[in-house]
Amino acid sequence: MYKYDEYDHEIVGARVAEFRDQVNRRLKGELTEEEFRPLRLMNGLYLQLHAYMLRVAIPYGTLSSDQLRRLARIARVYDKGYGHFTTRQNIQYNWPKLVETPDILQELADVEMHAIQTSGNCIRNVTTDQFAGATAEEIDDPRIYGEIIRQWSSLHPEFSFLPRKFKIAITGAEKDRAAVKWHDIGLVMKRGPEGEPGFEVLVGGGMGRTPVIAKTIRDFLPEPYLLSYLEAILRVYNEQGNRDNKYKARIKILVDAIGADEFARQTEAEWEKMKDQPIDVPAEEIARIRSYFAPPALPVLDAQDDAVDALAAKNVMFKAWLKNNTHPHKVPGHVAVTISLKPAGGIPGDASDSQMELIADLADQYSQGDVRVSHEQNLILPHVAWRDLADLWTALDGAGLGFANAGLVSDIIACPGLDYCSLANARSIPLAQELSNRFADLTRLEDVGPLKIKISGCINSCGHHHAGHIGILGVDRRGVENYQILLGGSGEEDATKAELLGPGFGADEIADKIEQVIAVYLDIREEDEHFLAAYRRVGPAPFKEALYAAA
Amino acid sequence: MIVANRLADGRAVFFTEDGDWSPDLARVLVANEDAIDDALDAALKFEGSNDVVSVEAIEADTSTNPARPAHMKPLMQTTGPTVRPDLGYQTGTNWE
Ligand code: SF4
Repeated sequence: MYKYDEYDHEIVGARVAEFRDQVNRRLKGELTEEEFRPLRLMNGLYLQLHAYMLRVAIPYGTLSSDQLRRLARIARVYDKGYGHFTTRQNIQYNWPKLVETPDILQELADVEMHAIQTSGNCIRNVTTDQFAGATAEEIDDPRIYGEIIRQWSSLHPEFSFLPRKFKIAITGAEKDRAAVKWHDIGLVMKRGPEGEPGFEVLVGGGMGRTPVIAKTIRDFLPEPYLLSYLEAILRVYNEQGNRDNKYKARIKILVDAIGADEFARQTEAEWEKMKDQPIDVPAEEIARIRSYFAPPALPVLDAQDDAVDALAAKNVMFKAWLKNNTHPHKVPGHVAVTISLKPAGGIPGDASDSQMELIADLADQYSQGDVRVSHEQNLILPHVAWRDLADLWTALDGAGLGFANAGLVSDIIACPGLDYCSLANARSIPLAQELSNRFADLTRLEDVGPLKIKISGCINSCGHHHAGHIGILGVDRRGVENYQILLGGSGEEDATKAELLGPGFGADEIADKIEQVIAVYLDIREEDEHFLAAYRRVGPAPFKEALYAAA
Repeated sequence: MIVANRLADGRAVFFTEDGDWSPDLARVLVANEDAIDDALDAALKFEGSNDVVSVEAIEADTSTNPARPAHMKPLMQTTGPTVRPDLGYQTGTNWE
């Protein structure tokens, strides 16, 4: 993975020192809260309902085992023994003390991590496919470009005060696991007419109160021009984006207002002016960054192992896990393993310090010291030999991490919601817990099949409810928690917006209603038809009827 | 009643009868509309002295004893996350 150079170390170190000084001045009263607030936000420190919250960037969701160990240590020493992995492939700590935050940032800097640009109207952490560098499907490892974008966008003076926050996602494969169409800019790696690498460029996607699916403004951008083209897009947005109304400030509103064709025209015109200026990264530099992401030298192995077969024959959970929680690897005899952070009744995305430490050790033992965070709030060991799977799963299972539900109905995305978040209208986590308890039985889980439930505690949509096969949005109905159901969304290459089914339901009935939705699906599905396909075939009518007719 | 977060650790606290801050609802000052402005002035002094931030007057539900916040968000602040009763004010121990 990428290693900090001198320059990286210097800026991150300087920021820690600067923030330590700012915190001291705040505690002594030399800075008012009004003065201090933007400074703490620039360092990822929010104030939530019960405490401060620190959001730490995990660039393109990639962690070394040492970094994960450090995250565990921070959870134990400075927090309450756990961290929360988010849909932005980041980690959040829920209880840091203000006075200790500079120490936490120093601990992060020691392992080449920070919390810069995890808040504010700047370019946020670039997200990508959790199987990057491992999946057989990809054209190239998207993290190479994620890193190039990270370096370009870090503390970029022109783009530090954009009209609104800005999120870029990139996938190296046509199969989209990074929800690129739901981002301000989405990049899909492709090959050009001569087989040369490049990107399809999409703009104007986003969730929030105005959900929009990004539109393609360029079918193929040759790889060498990535940064100049991104810079052209940002310039058009920076100049024309709405700065008066934060609800109309995202790039999606601008693209919608002037049209994708016009936005593309203006971007191209801007790009013409700058494409031969020294903005783009020279080929040698791309090669240098590429070398950090060189695939591990894995031997070609058999995709069969007696110990794996023997355990699968006697343990149904392991057998299901082999099917659901492993993904084909480039190198025969290997897989990428999804470690579910969604046990029945668990809090989606939460991991304890000891779980993180165990996963770090297992990454060293079985996955080249490499760990990933998925936007679906799970952890991934990307390079595991098939023959190690029985031992690996046994170790995971012993720590409550062996659940075989990746991609199934209890693999729920849930934002922190009203349990933690000061912007929330309703709780998300208890509903996720209730649903995952109801679908704890493996046979039932597998019968329902692939189904993505996504829950947000307010319209900000951190829980991606617009992209859920079943999306659930918490609202405040006269001071009481209420939940709206949306159906038919997708965050993948076939992205669609979920549609609101009807009036919301109270906290005491929403889980029953979701079960009813699933019962309708089981009733209408044709052979092997997944939930989303069935919904697309029949539309909302049968679901509406079941949920509202009796009322 | 009046809620705020402590500057040092962000913990939610309520303005008390005796002009201090506490998570203990039994001590919390409940003022009617006439008196709340004076109470708020007194509470805001603690923002000036950098003890608390985000000072806010909120509606109280006086049908319970002791009174408690009427709305969900500050109500949540009286307990801590409902999904981790081992960690918040519910535990009553690891807070002050
Ligand atoms: S969706 Fe709303 S409630 Fe959930 S984390 Fe985001 S801002 Fe908070």
